[in-house]
Amino acid sequence: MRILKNLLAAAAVAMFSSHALAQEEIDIVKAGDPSKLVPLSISGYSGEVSSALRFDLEVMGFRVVAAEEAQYELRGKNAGNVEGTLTDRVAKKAMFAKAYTGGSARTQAHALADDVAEAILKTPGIAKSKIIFKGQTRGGKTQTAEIFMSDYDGRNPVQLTKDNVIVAAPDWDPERRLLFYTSYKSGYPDIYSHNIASGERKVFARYPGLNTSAAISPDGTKVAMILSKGGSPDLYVSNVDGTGLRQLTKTREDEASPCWSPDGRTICFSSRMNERLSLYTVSAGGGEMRRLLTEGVTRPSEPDWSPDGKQIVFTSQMGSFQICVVPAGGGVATPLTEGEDPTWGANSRTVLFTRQARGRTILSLLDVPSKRVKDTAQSLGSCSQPSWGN
Amino acid sequence: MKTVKTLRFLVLAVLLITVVSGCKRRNPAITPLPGRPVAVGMDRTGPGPVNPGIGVNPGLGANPDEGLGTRAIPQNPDGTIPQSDRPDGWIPNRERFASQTVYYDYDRSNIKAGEASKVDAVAEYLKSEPNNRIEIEGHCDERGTEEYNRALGERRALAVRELLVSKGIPAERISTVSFGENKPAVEGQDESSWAKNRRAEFILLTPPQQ
Repeated sequence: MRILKNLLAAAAVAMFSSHALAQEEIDIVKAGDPSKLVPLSISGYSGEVSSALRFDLEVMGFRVVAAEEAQYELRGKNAGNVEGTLTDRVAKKAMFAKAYTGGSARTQAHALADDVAEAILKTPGIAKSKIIFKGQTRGGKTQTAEIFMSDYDGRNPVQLTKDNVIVAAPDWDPERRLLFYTSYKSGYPDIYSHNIASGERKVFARYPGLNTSAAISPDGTKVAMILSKGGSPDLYVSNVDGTGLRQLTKTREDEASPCWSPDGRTICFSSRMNERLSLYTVSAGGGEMRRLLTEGVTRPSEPDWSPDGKQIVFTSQMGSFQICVVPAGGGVATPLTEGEDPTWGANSRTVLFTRQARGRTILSLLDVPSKRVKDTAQSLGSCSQPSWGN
Repeated sequence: MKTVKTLRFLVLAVLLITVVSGCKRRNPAITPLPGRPVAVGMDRTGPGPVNPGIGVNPGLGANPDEGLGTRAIPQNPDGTIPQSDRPDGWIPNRERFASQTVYYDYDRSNIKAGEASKVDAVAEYLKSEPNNRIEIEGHCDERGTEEYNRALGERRALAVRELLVSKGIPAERISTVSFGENKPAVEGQDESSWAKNRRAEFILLTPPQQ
């Protein structure tokens, strides 16, 4: 306790001393300009806490600089529990002092990083979150895979299935610990529901033909999916227990990869209607399909709607695959980086996606405003189709 | 030094130390799954409708008006045809029509003129063996996104099914399954490999042993 008090005293002394802070030496990032990474210094930490803090904060929109150039200063230690003090160097204001207990050093570091991000950026932290994805555990021409959960940065992967069949398109509701995915366990593509807490699985959709691309609504009460039981892959929606199935599209061409608006009223998906691959929206209660303009890019698919409702991220195929964003109402689309399978984090700023590197598919984190990309730690074979779940 | 001591008190007064138990949340309770999922709807004893699984709309696949070969599945106005029940328990034969595999152009599901004769050959056989069924497996090359390809593979298989129906084969004898890009015929990242993966394969099905 005494050491902590001394540390805090020392910090205060540094803070209140007459050391003039030349404002032009610090690249101050004004609030509301997310394309500029906020300069932050980190000191006092060691080992994996230090590296986790640095990775988390860089992902969430900061750049780690020396103390003199920092707009904010995070100081602390991790001898035993992680502790940290956050200071606004420019405003000369202490923002918080916290200490963490429980969990591992790594999870404490994630908690601290989230607190820093929330205090400065005023958006939810993502460092404590988990992700779901599919991972290929074996080689071979037929691409069998399993479903995994890990920390958002790829650490601590846990295998959730052990079926040795083709699986695809996982989507989960982290709050309700409910997961859906497509599995060929029966020899055909069926959608299963999987309670992560209990391990219980049920057949969710086993209609004749194709059952795939389950997407849970944000309030957890409905599931959108693609079924071909009517004679062509179309968009359907049902209650989360499978009852109340309703067909939302009736086109001759194929629909694919639905996602929900955060208010649960609209579904965005891709369709080849009129022989041209585009994004469309339809009201979750039924109605006309409306094309979503994605000007400047071609062949959009795999949309995901940001939790704040403002943007849709998707994959565009223009030679290579490109992760693109477009305003949720449609308009000019912006390509950001090469990759596919995008899924938003809770901060509506970070996108988890896949890209090709080192001979396999890896999961990476994209900061949409700055376009910075950081790869997750990947200890498995090719990983793809991540679901962050919001 | 007195100044430091005053500052120290000031600091302690100003800064609140909060002990935050930020990590009470345990690691997720991931239970290793049993070797088999909850076994529902896995009835493979006969050619009848698939038993509905738990939580699945009980209307699935169990159209009481359909018997095999007794009544045609009505066609949709746009020419698409509702799916038939899966051939649970039927005996597959992949070799019989291996040379009738249909190939497609990139990102297309229409049957090219040069491929249609293969479908004719299968149709002729099915007319001569009315007790047998056919399953069509749709596949893609790797170049689309995965879920897009799963739907495209299904569309390719359905295109063959529609052509067979147009030649007089009852729709309930024809089922489809799409593997998207997950089951390539050849590995390779050039056009000649991709061309071999954009395909629909025929699987002959003979009735299960009675």
